[in-house]
Amino acid sequence: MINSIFDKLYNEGVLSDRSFQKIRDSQKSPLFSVHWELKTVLYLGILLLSTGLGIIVYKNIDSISHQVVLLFIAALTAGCFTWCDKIKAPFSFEKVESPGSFFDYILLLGTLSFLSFVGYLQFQYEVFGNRYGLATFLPMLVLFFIAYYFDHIGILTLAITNLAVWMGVALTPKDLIRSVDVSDERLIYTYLGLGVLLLTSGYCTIRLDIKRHFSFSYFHFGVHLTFIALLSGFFFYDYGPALVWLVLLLIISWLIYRQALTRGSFYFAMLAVIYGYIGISSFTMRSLFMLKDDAVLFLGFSYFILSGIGVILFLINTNKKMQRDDHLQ
Amino acid sequence: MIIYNKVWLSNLFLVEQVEEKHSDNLISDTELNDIKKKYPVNFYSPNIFIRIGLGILTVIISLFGCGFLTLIAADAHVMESYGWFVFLAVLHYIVLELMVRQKHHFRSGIDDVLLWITAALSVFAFIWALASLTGNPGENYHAVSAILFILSTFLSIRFIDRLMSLFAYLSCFALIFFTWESTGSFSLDTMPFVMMSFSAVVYWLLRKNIHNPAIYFYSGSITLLQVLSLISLYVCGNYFVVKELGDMLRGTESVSIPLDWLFWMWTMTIPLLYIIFGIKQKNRILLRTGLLLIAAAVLTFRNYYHLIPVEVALIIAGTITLAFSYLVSQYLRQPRNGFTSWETQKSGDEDWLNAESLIISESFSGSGHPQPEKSNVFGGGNFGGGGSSGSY
Repeated sequence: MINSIFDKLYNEGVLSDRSFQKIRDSQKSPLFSVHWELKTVLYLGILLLSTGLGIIVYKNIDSISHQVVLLFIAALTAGCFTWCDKIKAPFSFEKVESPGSFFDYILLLGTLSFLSFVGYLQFQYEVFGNRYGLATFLPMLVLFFIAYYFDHIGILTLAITNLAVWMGVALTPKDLIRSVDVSDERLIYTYLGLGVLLLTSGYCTIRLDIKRHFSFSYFHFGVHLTFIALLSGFFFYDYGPALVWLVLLLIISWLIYRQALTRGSFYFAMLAVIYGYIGISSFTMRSLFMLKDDAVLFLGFSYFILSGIGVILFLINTNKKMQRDDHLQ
Repeated sequence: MIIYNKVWLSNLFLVEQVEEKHSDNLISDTELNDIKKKYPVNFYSPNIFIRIGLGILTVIISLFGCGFLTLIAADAHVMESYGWFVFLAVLHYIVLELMVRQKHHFRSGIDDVLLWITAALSVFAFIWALASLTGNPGENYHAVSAILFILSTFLSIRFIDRLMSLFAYLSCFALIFFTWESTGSFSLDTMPFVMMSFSAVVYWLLRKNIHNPAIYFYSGSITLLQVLSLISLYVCGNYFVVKELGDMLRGTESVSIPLDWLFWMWTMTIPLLYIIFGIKQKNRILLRTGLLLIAAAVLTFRNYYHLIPVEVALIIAGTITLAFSYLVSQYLRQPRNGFTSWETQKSGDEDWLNAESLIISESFSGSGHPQPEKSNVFGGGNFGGGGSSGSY
């Protein structure tokens, strides 16, 4: 008796001879995969190494010769890229299978040391002078190129965050929470512009069929940025003009919701619903507070209870719809 | 004891195993569909993201629902007594039971959140009640850990909940700790050994009963408890923990501790032993816990002995881990002794890659941006990976 469940299914006749034999064979010589363990160790190694190199450059910046440091970082970068270029699969606009996780992480190491190289050049020799825009623009272009050339999603997300840095804003969740400033009008428009740009890129990625699997990264950052920008805009302006932002927010969340439904993405469907709900709730609260009545508290509490239940029902319905479509495929 | 329909539950476990074989291409689509029809699961368990969304909304409803009730009853000064929180806890529990029994929710986000809120409210009410009955708040560690243990054990058994079993383990651990502490003057010296024995006994019991049909439905909790007991077995004998915690509890400042050779040996060898046994027995839990604890051992050592500067240590460690993982994955390209460096199961490829890319952007996005504003300060540039300097 290897596994009672499959014996039982076989005896009941729901499992064919062939499948049962296959399962028995696979259980006779079970393979123990250490794939994820090795991958985690690899990630840790890259993290330790790049941090260590960073500190060594930082600490010895005025003692060891700059040329030596530069040469070393350049050699490391060149080494990583040459090796990766040698073993990579030929370029294609479709998804290219990576030769293995070691390849992925060496490419990442090369990219990180390239960024250190550019940063060091600028810091020490001011190659870009005072054109700080250029100092972030060029690395960003290179990052996008590497991401597409080697087909690496991790580097694509680095490129996207660099794009944000070039535009003067932060993108990763921890920075976003820390630095979003709803009182800065220019910042709101920058975030909105970047968000819409990313959403469009994601849409084009699918539409033009260029590295279709990259669309998630564009949409992920695009959706969060756009919604956060729209909400900030809603709170920034007075009641009247703020309605424009609210309407925009609702339109965009409806569009994203429709898209998510057709593409079967639960993640974006949930985001669209939650952000849309935050928008409507913010509007309700703002309107209620203008009443200046004792009943406001009661009205507000009842609103959240009832609307919460309503949105739960809506989400449950969405889930049902999407799972039904799932089965049709 | 389990609140869920046991037939559906065992069908769910069966279908999950069949789906695993299906994704390995060992079972055909029609067979999978036949089995699914024959073993129906009628729980309401939505997609993970919908689950998160439902959870968020449940928190909102619960928060404002409690607020609403409190507002209505405010005139009766309900907020001044713990009884009100007992009432709210019971209310949540009733809704939870209804959702699970009538609507068949099973890990839907709604039941998860209701369970946590019930637990939190009950514990809060209990602590309050205890403080007002005994008249000294904050000194009732025994009673609090005991009630936490009873409550979380009950909830984890009834709702097969992993988080609750985590609390059950921790509170049991705390209960034994406080009880032993209050036994006498030798209690602190023997504490590490008592807690180590407790962890070892829990692990031994879990391993012994792993195929026991009585705990078949608790496989998730059992895995978690194994990890917890292995970690606490190590931590209780870790040199840093024994020395610093002992100092803290006694209010002393020691240079060394008795039997320090034993604790150092424990600190250094246990992770390796976990890994060795993990490989020998092909036990993934032991292997992964061992790998995790290696980091703890290295950090403990570095805390007391600074043989080399941080950056050199980082570079050496990074190079070693890189080389190690490269060599092992090369070596295991051909399966050897039943080990392979390839994935044996496809793990929803696309989703994993996306998650991995977000981790990369989070941990490396601080790399190499020149910082224009501070360019006159030496060393102002931010080189290298971010987010790792804290622990070293």
